[in-house]
Amino acid sequence: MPDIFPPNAVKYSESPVFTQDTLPDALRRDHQTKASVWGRIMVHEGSLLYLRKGKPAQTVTAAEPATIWPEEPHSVTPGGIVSFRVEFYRIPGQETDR
Amino acid sequence: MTRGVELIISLLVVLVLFVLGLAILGYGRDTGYILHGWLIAGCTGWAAIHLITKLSDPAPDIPLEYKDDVIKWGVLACFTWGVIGFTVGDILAWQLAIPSLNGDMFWSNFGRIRPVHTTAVIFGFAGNALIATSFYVVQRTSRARLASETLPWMVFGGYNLFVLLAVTGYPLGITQSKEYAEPEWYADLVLLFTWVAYLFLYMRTLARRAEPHIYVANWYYLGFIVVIAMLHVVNNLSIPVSIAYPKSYALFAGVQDAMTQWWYGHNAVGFLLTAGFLGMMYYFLPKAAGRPIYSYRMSILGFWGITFLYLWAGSHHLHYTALPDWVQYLGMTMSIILLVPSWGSVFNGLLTLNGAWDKVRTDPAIRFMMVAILFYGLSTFEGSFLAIRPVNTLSHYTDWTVGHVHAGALGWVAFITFGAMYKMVPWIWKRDGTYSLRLEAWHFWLALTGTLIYVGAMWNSGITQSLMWQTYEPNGSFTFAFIDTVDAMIPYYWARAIGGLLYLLGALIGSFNIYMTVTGARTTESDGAGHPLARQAE
Repeated sequence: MPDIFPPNAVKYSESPVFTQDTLPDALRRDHQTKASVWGRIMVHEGSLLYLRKGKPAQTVTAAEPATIWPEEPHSVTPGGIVSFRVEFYRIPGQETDR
Repeated sequence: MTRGVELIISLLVVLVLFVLGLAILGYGRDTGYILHGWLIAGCTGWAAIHLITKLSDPAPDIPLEYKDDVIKWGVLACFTWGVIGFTVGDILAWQLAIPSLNGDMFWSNFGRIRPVHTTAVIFGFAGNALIATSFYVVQRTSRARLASETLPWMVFGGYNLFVLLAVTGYPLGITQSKEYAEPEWYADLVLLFTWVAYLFLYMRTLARRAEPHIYVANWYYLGFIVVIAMLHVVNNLSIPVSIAYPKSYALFAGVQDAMTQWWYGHNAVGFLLTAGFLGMMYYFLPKAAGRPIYSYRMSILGFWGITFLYLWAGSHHLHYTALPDWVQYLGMTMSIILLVPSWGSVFNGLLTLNGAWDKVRTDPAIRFMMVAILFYGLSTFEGSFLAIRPVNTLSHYTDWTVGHVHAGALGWVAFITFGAMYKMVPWIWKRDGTYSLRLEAWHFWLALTGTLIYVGAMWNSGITQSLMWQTYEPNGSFTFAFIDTVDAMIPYYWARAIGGLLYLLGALIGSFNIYMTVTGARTTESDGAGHPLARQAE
């Protein structure tokens, strides 16, 4: 599957590392990033099921990171043992809040 | 299974059918049969070249999307076959009212054109609706893309090739004369390969699901696929006379053949026209109403009840025949018990609307689905009733049966399909809604009026017919000659033709509405508009 991510996005923050035991419930339910904020799910170990509204589920692994689209509702479910973090990006020039 | 292996197996199957097509067009002696050879060889030859090209291409990137392109073609095929089937049906209805309209040509014989109607509506319209919606439902409820890029097209193409072979063969006299299974052995083989591919694709998609639970709609769709596979194989076991002619002889003879045919015929109703469409109902009704299924447990119990009981009920088509009495009573008993899971599904559907009944008034698609459930309740009650032997003495061989079938077909199957299509088409084409709710409502009222006229006329004509046949003089002779009973039917036949015409008009309006929806503006809801930078270059 093609991994789509804007090439000019600049990282500005990242989450702590979550595991299947420390994954907050809020991430297991539908949630979303703010306007203009992109995310990148980086799995260190194991696999994570990434669920987007209206899209097939995506299995995220260390070899296949996944993109979180601005303002798109999504949730994640551990596929067994997993550890991952989320990196946050902005595209320069698009940072104004809408 | 890797992509390469899947493509090679698909290619081998296609080549087998290609050789079959070549043999038919080479050795065939009948015009229609030779044309069918060309049709099979042409379609499979094109598919083979396509598969060989794919084999040498690098594996394509599969987008992170549901595979909806084939579903769109399924919708097109559904409406195209629907309009053809309804039109032919109504032409036949007018011919029954005014026999001189038939033209008295060999190919326009009622016996040759009627299966064009039944095949176009059952397999063309309803079958394509089931294939299209099943592909939609299995992906959404599994949160997985269809498990193959090629097989969905093979299923869609193979299935419609089968329907095309069927309806083009009948006017030329190519038929094995089994009700709802008229196509000859070579068309049956095309369907067999297609159906196995369909089952494999469906199971494999389910196996890839991200949801731990298999949603109940998939159980119904799978029941439909598995049982139709079994019915199709057994009912069509036959021995072709020669490769030069389409004619074949059934493996079974006499009453065993009759029982096999009605085991098939009734379960085609039970699994294609019931279980599959219950799957459709259990997905599209809760989605459209925005309400959960009233009782999930009842939907599962209904599934097992229907699956177990339907398979025994076929013999009620053979009451008072040479079939052993115990088989007739068994069929009758199972048919009566069948009312329990059938009405369980009816109440489950209707009670799902609790809290959303206002939408029945404002949303014609939900109104279609609600009335479909009522007709399902009506026709399953009527079915159990007609299966009772003494009732059957009144109804059998009369127009009542025709009315019963159309209450189910027009009122249940087509209404639930129209309701689901009015929802699914805007969803897959990403439109805000259908082109016109007013046209949807026109479609609904024309279809409902047409169905009521049709079914009412056939109840009256059927009972009149039967009572006239069973009226005797004191000396034991018939009071009415057979032609008197035919004459008495004419007003009802006019009513039926008018009812059918209204139904056809509604379907034409519905097709126009769907066409305008598809060609209309895309949804205003943001779908990637907010993040154009991440789109790949076209």
